[in-house]
Amino acid sequence: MNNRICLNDLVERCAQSPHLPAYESGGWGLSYGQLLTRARVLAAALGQLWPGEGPILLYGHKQPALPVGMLACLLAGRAYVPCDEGWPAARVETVFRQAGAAALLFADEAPAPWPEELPTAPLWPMCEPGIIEPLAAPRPCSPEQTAYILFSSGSTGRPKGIPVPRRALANFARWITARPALTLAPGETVVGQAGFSFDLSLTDLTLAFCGQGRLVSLSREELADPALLFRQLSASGAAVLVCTPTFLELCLCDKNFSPALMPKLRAVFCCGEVLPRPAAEKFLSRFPGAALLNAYGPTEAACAVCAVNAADALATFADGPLPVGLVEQAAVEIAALGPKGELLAEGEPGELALRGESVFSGYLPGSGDARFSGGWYRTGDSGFVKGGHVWCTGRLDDQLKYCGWRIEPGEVEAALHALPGVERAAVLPQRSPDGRVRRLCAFLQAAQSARLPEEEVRRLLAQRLPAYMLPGRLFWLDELPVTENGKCDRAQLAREFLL
Amino acid sequence: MQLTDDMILSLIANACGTPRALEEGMDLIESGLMDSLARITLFEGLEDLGVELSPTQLAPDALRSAPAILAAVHAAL
Repeated sequence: MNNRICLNDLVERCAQSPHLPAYESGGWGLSYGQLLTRARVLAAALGQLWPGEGPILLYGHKQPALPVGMLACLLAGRAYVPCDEGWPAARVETVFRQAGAAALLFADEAPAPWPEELPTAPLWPMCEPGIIEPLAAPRPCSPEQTAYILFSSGSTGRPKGIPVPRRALANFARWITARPALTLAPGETVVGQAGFSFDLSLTDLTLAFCGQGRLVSLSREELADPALLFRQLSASGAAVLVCTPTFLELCLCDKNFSPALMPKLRAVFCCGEVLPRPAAEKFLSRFPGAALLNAYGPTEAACAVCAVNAADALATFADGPLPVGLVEQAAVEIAALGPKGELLAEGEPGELALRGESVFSGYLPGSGDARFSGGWYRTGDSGFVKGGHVWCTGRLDDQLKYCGWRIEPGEVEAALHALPGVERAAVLPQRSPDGRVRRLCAFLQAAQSARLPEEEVRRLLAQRLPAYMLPGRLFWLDELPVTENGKCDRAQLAREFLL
Repeated sequence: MQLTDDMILSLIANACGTPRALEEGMDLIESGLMDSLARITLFEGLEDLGVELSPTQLAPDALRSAPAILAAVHAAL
């Protein structure tokens, strides 16, 4: 493992190759020289305009101003909070207040409607060289200081704030850049699919910036249009692709996704959800010379903590789900724990638990309590460890994974319950035969006369929830079924409506 | 086995997870029914039926409705 990387080294690495391209998205780009110069200017401006340690919200999608903002926050010792411009303004405001943020910096436009009393500023002019003396050196920081805060869906009905310390980010950087197939040479390209509010994007950012490589981050338009996407994949000349398994499967639906399209591709890093065995087999037969890494890790442990070479796994395990990592080469210690926190024997199913530098210290106040047991962080993921491999088999709670996104049904139910006329609400997943979540289904209890048109329900929900959390199907019921304990009988709903 | 429109429509409904996908005027994109996983199920199902449809070759609205998908499949045969 490369032990030399720390976050301040990252700045030195960026400075080594000022002429090389650092970041491109949507036709706009930055060299390392531009990235670092602008980040230093912005870091100085942050200290002058909003002194103190309050986190900075970075609002946008993949505009080049966003990585400038992230690097500036790391230089200035401020936590950054990525907020996607696809989020409704109400959610961004909730996140702003929960994070105790000092300011919101936006790439294109501020979220609307946005309360006037909350400070905002455009990212781009604020990092323009010449407006202020750039920050000369990174501000000294403790390893425990928060590097960034990601917000995921929360079971309490509000977004869950996950602060990740600088030591965890540095440990992730050490681990990911030590994967031989992923390491970039200066000038080589990594393509990233995920937006910055999804921590998978840390992988492509880290691989690029630690290796003085070029990150091509796919724009919303490219992701929505297969023809445009394939033109960009081809033009990128990428050596590495970082994506969710769903994205990889979508690409594989087209026979043109092949070495002829991406002749330099040598590795794909998949994380965020289950990589189906057939998808791995299809990719490896299509790209026989490339490595496919199947990775695992919760946001609470800085993106990913372990990975396995899918070709090796397919050869070792003739059938069944693929493992998600190797214990020996993990960024942290990994074990399966029993209900009382006891370490389980080889192959015994339990709860996956993590211990080490990558693991966070707890959620933001009001976001619930993290579950620690004897120094182990209990992930809530079910799984087991066998023969040095880690398997993740699902969740022990209600949390759902949809195309890589974490969704707590409780947060969607809270938004549904706030709709006019809704007396009770329940949200259940509709699953495909292989167990993956196809969509959310909402069950609403309301009097006939109080039922809103479906379009109106969707419009009101979209004011509170990001698109990936919106239910795909709505069922109005006179009464939700209840169990003997008076709780919603989810099993009956599933039997009656979803099977 | 002869490929019929009913087989394709059944595949569309299965991919979208609901027979509502076949309703007249249903916009599969706007309604969210034709999401990423639906696309994967549809294209893989068509491949199993011997229809090779390349997403990159399709018109932007080819997946917007069941009749549009049927037309794209017919054009590919």
